Amino acid sequence: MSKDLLKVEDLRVYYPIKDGFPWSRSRYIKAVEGVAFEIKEGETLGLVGESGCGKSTTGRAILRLVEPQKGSKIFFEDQNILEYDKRKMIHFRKKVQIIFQDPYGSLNPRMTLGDTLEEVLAVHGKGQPHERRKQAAKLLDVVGLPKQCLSRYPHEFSGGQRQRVVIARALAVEPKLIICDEPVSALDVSVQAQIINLLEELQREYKLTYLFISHDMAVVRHISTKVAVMYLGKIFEIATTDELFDNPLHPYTRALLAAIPKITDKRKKEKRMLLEGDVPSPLSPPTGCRFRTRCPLVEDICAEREPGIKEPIPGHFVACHFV
Amino acid sequence: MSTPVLEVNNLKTYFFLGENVIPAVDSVGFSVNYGETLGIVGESGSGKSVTALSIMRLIPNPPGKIVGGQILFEGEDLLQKTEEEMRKIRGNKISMIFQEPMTSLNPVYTVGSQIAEAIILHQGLSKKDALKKSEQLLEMCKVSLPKKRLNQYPHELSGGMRQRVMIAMALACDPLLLIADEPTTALDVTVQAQILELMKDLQRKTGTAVLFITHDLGVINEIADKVVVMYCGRVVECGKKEDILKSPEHPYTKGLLNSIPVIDGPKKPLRPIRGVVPSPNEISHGCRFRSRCDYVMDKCEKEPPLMNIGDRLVRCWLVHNFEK
Repeated sequence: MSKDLLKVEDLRVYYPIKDGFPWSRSRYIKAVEGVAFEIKEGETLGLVGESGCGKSTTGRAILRLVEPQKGSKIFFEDQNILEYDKRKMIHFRKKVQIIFQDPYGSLNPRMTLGDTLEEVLAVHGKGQPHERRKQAAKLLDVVGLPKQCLSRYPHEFSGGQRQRVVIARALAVEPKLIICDEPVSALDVSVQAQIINLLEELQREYKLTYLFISHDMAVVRHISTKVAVMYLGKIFEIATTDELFDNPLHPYTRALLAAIPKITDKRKKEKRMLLEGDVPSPLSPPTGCRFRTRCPLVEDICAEREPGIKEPIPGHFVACHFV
Repeated sequence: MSTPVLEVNNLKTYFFLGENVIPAVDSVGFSVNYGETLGIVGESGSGKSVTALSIMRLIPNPPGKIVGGQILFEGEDLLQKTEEEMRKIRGNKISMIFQEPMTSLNPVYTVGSQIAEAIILHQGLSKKDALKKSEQLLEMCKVSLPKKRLNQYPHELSGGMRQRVMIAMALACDPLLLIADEPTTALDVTVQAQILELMKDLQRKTGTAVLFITHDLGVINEIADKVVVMYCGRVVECGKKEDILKSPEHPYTKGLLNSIPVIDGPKKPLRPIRGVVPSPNEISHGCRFRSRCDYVMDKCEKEPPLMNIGDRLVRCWLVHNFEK
């Protein structure tokens, strides 16, 4: 059994809201509220949820791009990275990298691809200066771009190609964990499949571990070994991929799966489970269970008490009163 | 046999950018029958939105221009109409819903006055009656508390609610044709499911024909009767939804279906289409898909015509060979 590479416990991230008056009491959006999960080496954990559920914030918090609240714990290789100082953080970021959704925004338009890749190597002190060009060319080769691209600028490339460059840049420091924050959402389906295949190949070749954040359940099912479903800053259900998709226990997971338009009509033309309304504002989440305002199974207890995490089937965790 | 409400023949919309001529839509043709839903599917840059804007005659000119073809709406060619006549058709007999509901609603007017505007303009009702009708429309589109919404501004509503308002506005004058350009792309899946369900429901009630543009084949399966697959400004395949999704003929349609991960059933490897969508001015002759096609042959230097196979149309030489 491989060990946990990343272990997150009771992760909380609050964003303060300024309402203009310096003397008024500060309020917070509780973007992530007590999230816990672990990822084993070589695994892919898929993190799914609708917009505003806190999945991206979770990804950023792991790299401390946003600072979690006191009391949160993030263990990477058994060390709590929230206790790291600046110097140790730089070292840590050699092992953990992130890929963002928008490949247009994540590359400097005024730097050639060669400069972009060499900069990463220089910052992290990888290789000798005169060898870096060669290393950069090698990285491009790994992600399937010709080395002639080194002297070209980001605007000369399509979205898919840019995402390849971003992946190359993440690989430059030979990380162990890559946080993929919606890496294929901005791409067309045919290109999306290319990037997914590339990520899978790289994972096999370099024994990478992924935290794969996406709103697309089909993509998550394809790429993940384990899946966590988030809603308004909480994880509702977490299980291995096949278990979660074949036997969803939480009503939200079920509704989410039912809502996806499918190409093959395997199920009968049953009346599908439609959720009412929208996701409530994270500024004032419902008391008790956060899903109760849209839940078809709602009862009085849901407003009074927040359901704890249960494990009805070994390895399958769910937070609902009625499981 | 029902008659088509909209028939597009040989439509060509080009963009003139300096010395470059970009054929964004090139010889596109299809028809939509009364009460039917036609889905147009394609990747970005395939010309699906330009087709929709051409039908509404909303192509910005310059740089764009409709250089040829016919758009027959109820038998009359929209391309021959004056701007004055078009204005009477838009929002009345043909209406349109866009992807981004925030940018298509006016932020400084209340929801009620925006819906009522179309009703007053096209049906000549008084403001009071128009507002009453707006309320009914919102109720029909399952907007909660319709009376309260009339006096609210778009920023007070959620994304799904705004799209419902857009639909209410589009249906205000009982259009014969509704053009929906990626109406659910910006929404979360649970809200998307609500909107799709609503649109199907309303179509059953009103009998409006729908031209539904999307890049999502799953959405097509939910809503369309017929499908047009576009690639680089061309129609590559066109037919009944079941036929196209179950047994695609064109290599591009096949490639698209093989690129999508399945949500139910065992995992199968993704077989993406290689390369990237070429920009429309890169390909001057021959089959547009040949740079990415796995079955490319010498013949592809010449562009294949749309060929009839049973009751579908396919633009590929392979199919032509099978025929012989």
